[in-house]
Amino acid sequence: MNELSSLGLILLLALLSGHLVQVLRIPEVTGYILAGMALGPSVLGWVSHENVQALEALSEVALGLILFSIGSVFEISLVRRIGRKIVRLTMIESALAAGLVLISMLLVGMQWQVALLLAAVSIATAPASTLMVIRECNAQGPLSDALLGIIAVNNIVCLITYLSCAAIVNLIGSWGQQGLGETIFLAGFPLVWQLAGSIALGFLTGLMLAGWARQVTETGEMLILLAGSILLCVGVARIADLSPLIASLAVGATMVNLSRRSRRLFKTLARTDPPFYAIFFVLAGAELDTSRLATIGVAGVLYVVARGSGKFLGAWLGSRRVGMESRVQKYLGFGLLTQAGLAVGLVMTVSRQFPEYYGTISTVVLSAIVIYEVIGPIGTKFAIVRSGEARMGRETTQSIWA
Amino acid sequence: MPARTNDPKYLAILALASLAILVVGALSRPGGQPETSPASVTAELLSLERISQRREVESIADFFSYVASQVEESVVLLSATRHSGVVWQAGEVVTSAGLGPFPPRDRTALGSQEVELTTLAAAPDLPYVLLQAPLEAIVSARTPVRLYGQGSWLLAVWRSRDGSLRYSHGNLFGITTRRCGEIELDEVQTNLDLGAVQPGAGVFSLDGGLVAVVLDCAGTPVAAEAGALELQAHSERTLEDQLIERYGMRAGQADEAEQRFFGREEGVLIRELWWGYRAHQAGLMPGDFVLALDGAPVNAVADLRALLLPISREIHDLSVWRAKRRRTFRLLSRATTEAAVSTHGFVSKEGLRVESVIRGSLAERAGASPGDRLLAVNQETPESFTDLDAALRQGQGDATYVALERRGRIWGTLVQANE
Repeated sequence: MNELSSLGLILLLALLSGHLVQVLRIPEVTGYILAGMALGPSVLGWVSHENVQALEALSEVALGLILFSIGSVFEISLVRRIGRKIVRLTMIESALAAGLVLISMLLVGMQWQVALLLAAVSIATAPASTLMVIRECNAQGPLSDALLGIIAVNNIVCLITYLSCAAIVNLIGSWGQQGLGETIFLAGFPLVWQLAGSIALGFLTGLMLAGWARQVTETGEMLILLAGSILLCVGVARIADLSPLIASLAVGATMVNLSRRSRRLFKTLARTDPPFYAIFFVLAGAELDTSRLATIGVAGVLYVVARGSGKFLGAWLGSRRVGMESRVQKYLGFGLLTQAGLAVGLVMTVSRQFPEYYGTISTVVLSAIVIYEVIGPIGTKFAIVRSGEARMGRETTQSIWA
Repeated sequence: MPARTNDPKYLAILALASLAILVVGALSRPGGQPETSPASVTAELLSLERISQRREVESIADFFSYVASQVEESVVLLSATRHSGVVWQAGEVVTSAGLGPFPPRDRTALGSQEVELTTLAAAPDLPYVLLQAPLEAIVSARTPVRLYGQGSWLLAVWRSRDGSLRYSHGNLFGITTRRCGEIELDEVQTNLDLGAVQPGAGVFSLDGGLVAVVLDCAGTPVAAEAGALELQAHSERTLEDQLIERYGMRAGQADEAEQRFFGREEGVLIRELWWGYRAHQAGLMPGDFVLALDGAPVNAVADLRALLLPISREIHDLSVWRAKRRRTFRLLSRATTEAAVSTHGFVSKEGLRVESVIRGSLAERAGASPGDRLLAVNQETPESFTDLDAALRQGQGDATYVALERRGRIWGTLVQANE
């Protein structure tokens, strides 16, 4: 099958599965991912690895747009209102998830380096599927605000933790082999570069976008401007070994704080984005290797349980400590289970940086992702519906940022 | 700080700082981690590649076996000659000829049935034999070899002497023309080990089309292109060809020198015979002049047509002039089972074996080669060099008539001393 027919099939099947899963009252995004898994190489094989690779650019656009939109939660008024709480909450849930994963991995006899890196990866929560569910439910309220804030901060925390852990593993592994200064520089550079460099790149792109947006009046031009800026930012981030994720977040954050017309920009996008998301999630599903479930093993099961428990416990404890409403305390944990893109990206980084640990880490994380990608969005929808924030049918919104 | 978010100066400082971070960071990046796959991943990929290559080879081998099984029913084993044959037309089996006459009938198993095959065309000068099979025989489709490019896979399929199916694979390299006995063949050039292949094997393409038939061409196995071979096999045979095919005898009008040498003007001269065929069994020899057939005078080859009539006598009387005497030979018109000589293990022990040939000698002018047998000189059969010397003296004038045998073909040549 060629790329165009794959694309057609992906869109139509995404639509169909979206309708089908509504009957089962599970989120559309789960339907998309399941459709992707069915179409993908590990089940029917109608969408091959080559097709997935060829359509990768569309996924990149979609992910860039999603993170750009998440960046809007860094609007200064919002940060001032709930920022401190969100950061504390995120730190607590991340620490508990990572802590439980670290302990359980050490208990099953894994090397401390593997346990440490797995703990860092376990912090990641998938922004895209969480946002899709919030959009689908047209959710509004403290739980949805908390979720949005947490997934924005969580991914930065995850990246910082991973880079710090990788620096520690590197530092201890190469201790004595090089000069102290060089060792510290080599271990710490990626941490500083990926954070500061990505934010700097995102800020510059956002600045350009905000400045140019003032001159643009037509909707079509606005779309071209946004798509071009996001693609450029993601592309440059890849070339410079920066984090496209943080860079896109930074573009959104810059834009929302600098341009009065940012709301208009988001609304413009609202009418055009759904096909991108459908493609993004179906491709994400197609890339999941269901055969990995057979190799998950004791460590994989423990990782899934420990991470899930850590997220639940951390969300409950954190929201209690920062004084959030009881319904948020009760249901927030369900919304934090998803795990996808960032975790896969970190596993790929492990393959380059620590090939000796790659086999174990990839087996555990990639098999756990298959489970989290299916149950995560269902948990998020459950949390939103149960907390009474779902406003399905009351208002029709087209986009996650509309 | 929030109040300053739209202050151009503040934004310019931030932009410059960002730019500085990017420039300094990009310049001070350590050598960079290689983007190549890590060692363990590379090893894993290599191992996967090896597994997939092995699987590919295994699946190719399976595929050859599958192709062989697809054509199995059109490859037969002939009971009497133990040759393989290919059913290449409805009711027709082609196989390779061997030394000596091919039996008039043979048997083979077609499917689960044992059936009788009748020899349609078998001539000592032809490298192939056609046999008539029952119509229900399964036919293998023929494919013009020109459809395939250089390097295309070929599969030779045959039956071993116990009837089990064998095959070997090779590639196609092109076609050349090759002289084989009295005919020209289109030879399929291939790296198949034809020496190890049973004569009469079929050479098939991977889609099961018959590309060639393996024939024994004067001791050399040759893959003869099936399409050209079929045209050749079904072309019209002349009276001379039919005499060769049925009696193993070639006759013609004598030229002046021959008439002078043998002292006869009428009659036709027998020039060539095939060992074990009816004319040879009857005792005829090259150099004999056929003067009459069943009492009717013979002045041209056409007068021998009575030998080929469908309804004719079982025994023909041939009145022949040999060594200045008139003699009568009895020629059987129908081959008996006893007359069928096995094509295998044929060895002629008559005459003298030619060990070597001196350049410019009479032997060279007669066309002799080492390994040939000298059967007659001036119609006398020498058994020693003394006999040979005596026979040479009996020549007429300066000419000598020499009869030689090579791989079952016996032919006579008149050699002039002053040539």
